Amino acid sequence: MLKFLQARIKFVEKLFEDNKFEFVFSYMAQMAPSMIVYEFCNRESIPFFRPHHSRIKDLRIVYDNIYEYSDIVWERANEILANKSASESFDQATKFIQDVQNGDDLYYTNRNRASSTVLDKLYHAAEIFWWEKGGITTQYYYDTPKIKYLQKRFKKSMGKNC
Amino acid sequence: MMWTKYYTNQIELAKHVSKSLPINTKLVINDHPVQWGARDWGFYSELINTYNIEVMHVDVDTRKIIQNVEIVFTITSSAGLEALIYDTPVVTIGRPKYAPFYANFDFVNNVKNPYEISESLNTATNSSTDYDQLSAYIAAILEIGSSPSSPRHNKNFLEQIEMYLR
Repeated sequence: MLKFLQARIKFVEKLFEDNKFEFVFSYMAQMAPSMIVYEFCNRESIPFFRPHHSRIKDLRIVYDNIYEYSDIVWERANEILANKSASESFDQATKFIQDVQNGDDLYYTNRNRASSTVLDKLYHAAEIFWWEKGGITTQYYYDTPKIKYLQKRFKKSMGKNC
Repeated sequence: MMWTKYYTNQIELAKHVSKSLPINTKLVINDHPVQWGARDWGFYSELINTYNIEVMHVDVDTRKIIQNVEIVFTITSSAGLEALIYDTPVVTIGRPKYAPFYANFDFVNNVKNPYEISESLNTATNSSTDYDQLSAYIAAILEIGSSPSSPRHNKNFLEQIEMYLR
């Protein structure tokens, strides 16, 4: 367990040493790597964004200005729109839209097992049967003893007060 | 669901939309793949038993549905963005104009309460995607960084992270 944590913490620590992040956007805040990143963000006072969820009480938001990221995106989008001929990103985005219209995936969801190998297809089919049987339930892991334990271990492994 | 806390009862919302549609129109529901299996079967059976609602299987390609419908109703789904790319009119439910993402576009119709759903049908059918605005928005995301709902350029980033974490 400790090696599992140490390996991840070592990587994140190096990432924070080598780069100066203005903000961090967590993909899945409830997963262990994101939790480690959160602790580093908290220590360095770096804004930490995470997907919003209204059903659960999220204790781990240090930066709660939910409009700021959106404002930055829209401000930059308007700048690009005003000067689209000089923007490489605009051409890239146009190509992206055309690619999607021609059949490319809009998102990388890692859920495309049905179109992979035979074994993947079988696994996918089995998973569908299992889902349809009602084998999976929605669970939220915040505030559980397991998470509190893990958070303590993160802090202890980092050896600093976060 | 952050922006739509009054629309968390999705069965009621689907019924509101179905009742707002013209008599010869069907409401096709495509649930999020993650929700498949997480919900009780009663959820789907109640929807299926409504006279003009059809529920699609999780494996049906969303793009095929989007390309064959007149309007896409969504609460906060990325399917709305996909619909805009295919120039299918989008109606977002319960999202204020100051919300992030594609709800801010002028050509995206926003419904604030169930009574506006039927009114939105006419305005939505006449709206079409402004691809310049859409490209600028996607370009901004490509430049600034990705949100959890960002396009597939996340792939390399995620692969790198996964590679390091393994």
